[in-house]
Amino acid sequence: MGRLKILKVKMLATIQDHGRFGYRKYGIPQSGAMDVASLNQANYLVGNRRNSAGIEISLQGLILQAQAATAIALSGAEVVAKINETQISMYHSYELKPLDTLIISAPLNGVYTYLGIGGALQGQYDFGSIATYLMAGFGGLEGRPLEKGDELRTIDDPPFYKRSIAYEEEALFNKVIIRYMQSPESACLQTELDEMVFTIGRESNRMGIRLEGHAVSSEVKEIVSSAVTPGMIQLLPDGSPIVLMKDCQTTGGYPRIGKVLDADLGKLAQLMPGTSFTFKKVSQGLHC
Amino acid sequence: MSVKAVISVLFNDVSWNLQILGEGVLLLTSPTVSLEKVQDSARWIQVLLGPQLIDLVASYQSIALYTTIPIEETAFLLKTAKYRSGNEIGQREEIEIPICYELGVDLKNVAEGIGLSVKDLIDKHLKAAYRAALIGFIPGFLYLTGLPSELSFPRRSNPRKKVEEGSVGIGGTQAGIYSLASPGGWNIIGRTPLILFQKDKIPPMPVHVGARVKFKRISQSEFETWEG
Repeated sequence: MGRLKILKVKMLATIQDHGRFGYRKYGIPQSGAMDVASLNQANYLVGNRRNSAGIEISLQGLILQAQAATAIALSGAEVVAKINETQISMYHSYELKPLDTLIISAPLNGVYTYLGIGGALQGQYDFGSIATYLMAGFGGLEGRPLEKGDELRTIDDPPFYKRSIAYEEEALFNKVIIRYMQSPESACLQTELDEMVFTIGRESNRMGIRLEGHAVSSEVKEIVSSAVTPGMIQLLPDGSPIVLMKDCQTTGGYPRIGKVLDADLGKLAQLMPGTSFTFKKVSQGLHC
Repeated sequence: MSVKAVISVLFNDVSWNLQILGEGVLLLTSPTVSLEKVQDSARWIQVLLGPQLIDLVASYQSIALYTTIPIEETAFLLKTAKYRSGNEIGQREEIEIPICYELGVDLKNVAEGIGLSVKDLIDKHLKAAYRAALIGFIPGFLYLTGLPSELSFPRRSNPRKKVEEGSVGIGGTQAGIYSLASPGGWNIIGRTPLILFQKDKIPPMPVHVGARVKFKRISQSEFETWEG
């Protein structure tokens, strides 16, 4: 049984999996990892199933101590990590021995780091998922962020797998392109999104990513409340777009001017505030 | 075969515009459809798609379908759906929601703002017949239609950081109930002790979209001793 005790945490570490599905009719958001592909990789490295839960770490770092032999791996936003005094690599599995300390720095590049833990995490399952949704206290450990003194335990005791994934850091200053498809109110836009450069706003979180740099003008300011989904680009009344993320509500009243492809949503989530990117439209439609 | 952004499909006697909302998500919209017809169509779709339907979001004039099958296949099933047996239509739910107006933190302001006495405001609010229109915003937040037009009142210009659970509010022409304590911008005219959303209950809500809703006045001491 893997056991990790939290020695130090500031903001924000939560348990996340792929999220909850089938309960939108009760207004329950999807939630789950902001960068699902990275969570999947962390799970692969420690020998877990694809939809297993991991720890999503953002903004500040985390220090943990093993209370029992525990397999771990790090993926996602780049951090400096150490087991006791020894620096370790990301995208690599390690077996912590009892009383080993794992120190994870704040992200240097990117926003969300994932800590994979070998085995199935114990925690609170709500509506079929252990994903933490803070607003309603769903999932995780009692629906709250991880705190000092918490102990993460796994139900099972899987064998340790020595695994690694070769990965290349995306070169800095690379032009970032985020693909999107058209949405119901796309036609209201007076300028195509592709022609503008946007910057990630500081007020971004698990509910949405604010885009700055351009006021977008639209003929329509409000719509009759209708369904929205993670990745939806909504246009706020002041002309600034917001990309709805995993904790977003199920319906909204602002024009939907695009939908970021699921395949690029994790990449967008990892862009730090102040980073610029451009949109690229991908044609989508019904085959008939 | 051609690729179109929007196609028109006749389903349940309504001409719907079908378009992609996301990967595996189809949106049906009709600008003229009634709320009742939306909810009736949603019920039929649930029967029609069965386990192939992961999730459904019915709003005022639209229905979003999250399916395991290709959206073209969903569109085809809607287009070819003809036969419908009567028993698919669920029993009409009715619910009485207790309300304590003494706990309405904005009651006096709203009455003043719309030019009614507090008593007249309460009478009009109690007399109206409401219908559960939509659940959204936060888990379990219930939007109601049926607010008498003279009780319309704009949202607060500075939303509250915390609105208490069970708060009954007015937001423009809409009425609604906060299922959980949350930030909110609606004016609060009363509070219900009825727990609208319980995550460990199946189903988590005692009321569903489409239900008829009436308010029943209770006193502050009844509110405080309310059980269940």
